[in-house]
Amino acid sequence: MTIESTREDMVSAGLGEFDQMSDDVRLDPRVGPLQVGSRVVTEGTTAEQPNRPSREFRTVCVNEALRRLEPLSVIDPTPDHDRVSRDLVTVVGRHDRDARSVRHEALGEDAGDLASCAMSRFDDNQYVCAIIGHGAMVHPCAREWPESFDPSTEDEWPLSERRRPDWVETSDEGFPQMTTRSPALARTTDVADGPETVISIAHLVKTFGPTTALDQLDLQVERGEVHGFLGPNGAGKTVTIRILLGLLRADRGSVTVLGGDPWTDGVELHRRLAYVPGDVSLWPNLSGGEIIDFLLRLRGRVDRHRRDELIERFELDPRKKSRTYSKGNRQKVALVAALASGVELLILDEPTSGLDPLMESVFQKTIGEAVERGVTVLLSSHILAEVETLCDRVTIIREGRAVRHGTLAELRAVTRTTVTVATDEPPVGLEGLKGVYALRQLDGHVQFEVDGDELDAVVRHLAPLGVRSLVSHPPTLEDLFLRLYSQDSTEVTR
Amino acid sequence: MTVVLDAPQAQQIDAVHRTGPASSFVGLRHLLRLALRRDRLRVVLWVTGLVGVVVATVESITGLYSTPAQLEQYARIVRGNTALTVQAGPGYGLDDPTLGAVMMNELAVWMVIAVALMNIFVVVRHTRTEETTENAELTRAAPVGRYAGTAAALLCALISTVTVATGVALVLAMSGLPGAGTMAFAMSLVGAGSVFASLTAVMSQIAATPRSALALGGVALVASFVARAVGDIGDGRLSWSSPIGWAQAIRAFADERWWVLVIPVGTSALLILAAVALQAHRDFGAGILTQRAGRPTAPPTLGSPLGLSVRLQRASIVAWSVGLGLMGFFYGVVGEQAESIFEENPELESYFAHLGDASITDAFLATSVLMMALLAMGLTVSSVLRLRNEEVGFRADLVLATPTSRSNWWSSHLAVTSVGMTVALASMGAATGIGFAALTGEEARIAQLSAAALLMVPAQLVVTGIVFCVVAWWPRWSMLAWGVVAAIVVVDLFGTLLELPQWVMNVSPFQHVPAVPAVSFQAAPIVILLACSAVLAAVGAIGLRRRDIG
Repeated sequence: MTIESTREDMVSAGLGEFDQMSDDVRLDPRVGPLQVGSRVVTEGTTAEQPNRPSREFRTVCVNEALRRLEPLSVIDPTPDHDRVSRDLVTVVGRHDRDARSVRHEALGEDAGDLASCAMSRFDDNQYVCAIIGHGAMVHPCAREWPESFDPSTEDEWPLSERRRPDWVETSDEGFPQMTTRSPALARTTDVADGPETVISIAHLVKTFGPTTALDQLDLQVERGEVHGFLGPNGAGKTVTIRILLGLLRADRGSVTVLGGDPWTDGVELHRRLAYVPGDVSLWPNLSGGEIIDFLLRLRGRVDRHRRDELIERFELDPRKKSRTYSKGNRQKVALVAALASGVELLILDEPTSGLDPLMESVFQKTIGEAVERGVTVLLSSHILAEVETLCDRVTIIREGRAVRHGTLAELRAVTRTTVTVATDEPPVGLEGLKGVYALRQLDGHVQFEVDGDELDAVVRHLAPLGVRSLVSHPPTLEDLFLRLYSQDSTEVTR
Repeated sequence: MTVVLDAPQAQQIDAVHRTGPASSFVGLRHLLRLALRRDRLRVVLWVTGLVGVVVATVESITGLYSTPAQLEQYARIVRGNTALTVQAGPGYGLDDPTLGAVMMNELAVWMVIAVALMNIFVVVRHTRTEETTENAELTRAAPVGRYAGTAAALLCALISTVTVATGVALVLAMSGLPGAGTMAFAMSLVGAGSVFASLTAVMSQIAATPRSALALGGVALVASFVARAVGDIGDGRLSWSSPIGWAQAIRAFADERWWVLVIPVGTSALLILAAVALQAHRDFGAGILTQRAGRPTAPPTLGSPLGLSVRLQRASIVAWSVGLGLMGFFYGVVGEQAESIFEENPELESYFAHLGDASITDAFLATSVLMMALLAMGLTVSSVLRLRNEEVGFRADLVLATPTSRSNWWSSHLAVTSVGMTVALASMGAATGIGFAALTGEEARIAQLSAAALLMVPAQLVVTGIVFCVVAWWPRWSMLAWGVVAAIVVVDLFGTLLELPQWVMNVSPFQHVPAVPAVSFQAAPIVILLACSAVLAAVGAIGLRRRDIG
């Protein structure tokens, strides 16, 4: 198949439509709130760039198209196709309706100027191209395929070199450049449809000579969640992460990352994940910007817009040589390089330990945006506030074993409430109650800690004694962690 | 609430708060003990290595030149011989040759260079390198005086030098050499060592990074060598500007001139004052040469591990190429002189007889090319060891966490090392040829000597392979690579002198390279060397694939 035949098909089927549309397609900067499917999306534009629709809006359009068509291929300049950039996204799907109705149905009545559909025919099937672009000009196809290429049999489509067309003027020139993904890959590596368990560790053992770093560790991270990985210093968090990256080899046990073995399939898996190390050390003679670009290029794609935006958000000066950076700035370099790469799994090892509170909130906001796009995050951190805000589930590791895992809510249920009560009659019998600890008398009051699930029994016991005042402190995460981190393991297991 | 101190406490606090010159050295004792403790293995290795070489040399020379007739013959060959003077010094005392004078001629320059290198490394390690890691910040935040760090580094260097000198003196004395000469030589070693130590202390203040401090120290050493060599060939005046020349000028074993010792001592003192003055004006952790700003985005070449390796290694490759080029030019110029002197002295034929039926000039040029190739091992080995540095510094993690395979990572690094080393050797050979041709007009020599230098590349590749295998299989012992280098240097420089058996000499890959232009080209050894390096690379690849990183 060559491009010429595809275009002819397109022309005969509906490219004429394009030509018409390309004349009158204009992006209306005043497009207001839009209903696409069941979501109401607010169009946002910036004053300097009124012709660019909001990323969110385009994301929604793409997702709708994916949902309603039967997507065979997504031709996307940025393979992370639900994060739409300035370039085109083309969804090729199969549909037996005509172009216009598909467009309206798939993308909503008012999506008009932002999206167009064309029909094309090959292999006796109807193919619909839904093109969501930024308006002024839409062209569906890449410029060049190699002659020997047959898209129906190849697993990986050739990458044409990246050129940025001048959108406003060009008509025949200036095709968008596309990385390609074959239909098979499109389905399996789609962020929304991938395997449910992104990281799966079972009975992992790692020893360094006489020291056992990991002792039957279990860990599961599901797709799309932010999983906290906590533990005292020296518990084995960094060792686990390095095994996930294929830098260390596990002695026993099984490790699966994104469906593959990190030791043998490392290179392939690393295309889909990004890593921020705990103690960032950089090449002293290179500047921050150079290091970020270098790491992004190694990973395969440089989204200049996103990189610049993140550098600005984190207030990083990319021109300084990394030798002159403080620890926090070095961390920012690693963070920007990871967050700008658009991968589906982020492995972060204490990424904010040197950042000030403002940057901490920037980090949390950026991770939140990533999560909305479906990115999975494994976050190892000591900052409990960060864990509380970001993490869905948490695994706590101590001395190489997972001692606790679950959602934060579940963990909170395990901690204790501190109760201070004053009663009319002396509170006898409290010591004997199950779940009551650290009973002490203060002047006139009694203070104790009670397990979450025994609270009801304790309150029932107290009620007949005539409660005059009752103050309770809800369980704090810090209490939980301190208790779990400490040596006193007998209390923990209850 | 006020605190009332009793008298002893008040005195203690006064002592801490005392200002003035004495307080600048507070903590010196502890820092010195720390430095010595950290370096104990290195110092022991240096001392045993140098003393060992002296022992072996003494053995061998006493055997070779036991009769007065043999001593006379040696003196006749060596005296006034420009080429040998370059390598060995002015040969004081060879008018009436004694064993001591012969010893000095064979040994002195190399020992001074080795001691100078040891001092340079020790001082940079405890000043510049300390500051770039966080260790020094930790100690400086403790009650430690401003100059205590530098003073500790200098004292540590001095202690190492004195240990070496004492060992050497003992060996020489036990083999029956006169006491005065032994003392003189030992003290000249200490003098030269302290000059280079204090010079390096000054360089550490100026340079921005440990690497540049080492580079400056190396440049100073090479300049001293060249100045002394030029002076020794000529009328001797230029030798007085070189610390190596001062060490020779004491004329150990040949009517010692003790007053010469004043010069290195005085120079060291002046340099130390300069270092102190510079440090007073410098921020902790910075050099006086300030940093330039970098680029905000990466150039298109910085997009792969290969691009990174080029970027990281290009500065040192250029520096070594320039340095070796200058040395080559110098040797080429001297080589022109070799012929004319040699022709007057028929006994020289026997001296170079082991090189076969070659002209003396060819023999000299071949030996010079070999020596500079041995020096170039510094570039090769330090480049390969950078791989281990990247790993230890966790920068390799950043690269290996991207879709970069381990083999891509190390092979691009080694490719750059190999190409860089080839460039450096080619520049050395070409410069030697140019120097020679400039005086003799034999332009064919340029190509010939470039080829001779390039023939050293396979041997360097074998060395690369050996170091890579060490890094791949025994990463914690990576520093052993320098031991390999030392062994090769000893074998190649002192092999004939120490009368080492041929099978020991064959360990060095440079022994197998045909010594063009003295010997005609043979392809077989080159092919074997290349095959060996390929095997070593494969073995290293296996080791690096199966082990943990970091």
